[in-house]
Amino acid sequence: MNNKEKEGLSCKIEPKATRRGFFYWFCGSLFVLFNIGAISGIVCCLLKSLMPSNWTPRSYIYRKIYATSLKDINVIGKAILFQDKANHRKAILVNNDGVIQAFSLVCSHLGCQVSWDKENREFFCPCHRGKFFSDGRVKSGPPPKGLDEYNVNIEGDMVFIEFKEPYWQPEQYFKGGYKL
Amino acid sequence: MIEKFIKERTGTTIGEIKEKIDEKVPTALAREFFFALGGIPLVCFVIQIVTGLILSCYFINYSGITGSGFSAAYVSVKNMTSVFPVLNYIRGIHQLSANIMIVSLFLHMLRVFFTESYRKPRELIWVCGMLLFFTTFGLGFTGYALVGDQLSYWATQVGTNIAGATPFIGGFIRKLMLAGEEINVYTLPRFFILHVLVLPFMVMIPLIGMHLLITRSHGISYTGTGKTKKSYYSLVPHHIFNEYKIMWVLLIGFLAVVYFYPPTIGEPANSFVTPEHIKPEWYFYPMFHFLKLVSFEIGIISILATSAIMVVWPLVQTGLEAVIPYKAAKVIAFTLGTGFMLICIVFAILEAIH
Repeated sequence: MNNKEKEGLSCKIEPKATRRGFFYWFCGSLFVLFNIGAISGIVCCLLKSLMPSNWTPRSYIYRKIYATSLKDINVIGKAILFQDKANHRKAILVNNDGVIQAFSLVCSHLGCQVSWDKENREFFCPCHRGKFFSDGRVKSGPPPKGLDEYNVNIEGDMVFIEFKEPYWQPEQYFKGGYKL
Repeated sequence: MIEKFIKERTGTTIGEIKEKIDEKVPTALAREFFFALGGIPLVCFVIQIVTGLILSCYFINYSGITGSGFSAAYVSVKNMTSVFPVLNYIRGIHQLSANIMIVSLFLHMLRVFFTESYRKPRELIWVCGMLLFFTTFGLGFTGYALVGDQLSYWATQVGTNIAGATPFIGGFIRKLMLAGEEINVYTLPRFFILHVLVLPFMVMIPLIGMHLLITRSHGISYTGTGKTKKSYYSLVPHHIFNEYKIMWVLLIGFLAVVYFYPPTIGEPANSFVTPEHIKPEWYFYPMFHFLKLVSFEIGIISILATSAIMVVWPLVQTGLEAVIPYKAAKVIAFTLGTGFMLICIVFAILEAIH
């Protein structure tokens, strides 16, 4: 058998493109696209329903809270712990060579609470033994960055701390006074 | 007569079901402790489900503060621990069987690794097994996050921050777990749902099913120690009866331990103070200690990479064999396995004594 005869035998009959075939293909593609769109939409809605912090226009809000009087902190080297348990606010005010700074006590490593070591003038995290200088920088241990610093506003004799707080705070719905 | 009744209505008889389920299993499973370790986690899991069902009837899934000044969840667990009768034992058994489940899973994993029972065609059995191992860790973590004491609170804080450090999707996962930017009243229900529904019923049971089905289709590997002569016995009823005996041994053992060492509860959660010597449950010690030694990014990426390699190890070893001699790959596998196990043990000991 020569090559020409071989080619003749191996030649396949191409399926003819028909209008019916095109219609099926087109409808099938539309069906698949519609299903992908509908399922994605449902998944997005479900995920949104599970992410309450994304319901609000922003993640965090800044609130200016009175912390202490200036004369109490106006001594070089002094540190004052500010706690507002009802509203989950906690910070430390430190007078570093006359500059009053406020730091979050949340460790930048894995979120444990750091404590203030008066004697060594440093912060210590009990979870993974991270240490921070009094100006919030990392001294030793695994923390990747320093402690978060809050803005401090001094108005007359009053010292205010500008707290960074989650915008969405669900506890409010469980306190009296909230109307459904 | 009963058999006829069942046959007419279901189309099958108990004898036929037995024949379908039955298979030959190696005698080593009945004779050698290390070969019977796969059944212990399963028995523990059943005990966990039964005791968990009872505990969930008394658990109050709300972390808001009650009139007593403590969270409702904490008060409910405290009541189970020291006020209500019998529940103390049930909580103790639930806690203890979780620990035994992890120990037996770890030993089972070691046996499979060092006898190379994960080799072709059993790679997927290993993958399912490793996923079960990590899911058990997840169950442990979400379980002790429910108690409402200091350990619970700070474990949630640290655990969700570790999850949050996962590259690309970490922030999303953290928000999803916490129901917000920080721990709030909607965090506890998520951990509860994970602990009682998602992880055990939607993850664990399908994985156990796959693990057992694939094991059944390939048969249990017979890489015995040579102590037992190669022979087989029947799954139904002999091996099932052995597992039943194991269940009683475990239950009596748990009861005895809980009688002498009843479960306790720590100080109530305080988001303002991290206790001086806080530690997670013992099975997280190696990871916790490792995170103390290295920088944050290296720590998280190493943990994720190690876990991923552990899951797909059979495929990694097969890949290695394509480029280096078979025996060299075997030596590498043995060395890595031994090294990893020793590191975990040393880190756990160091964390325990510091």
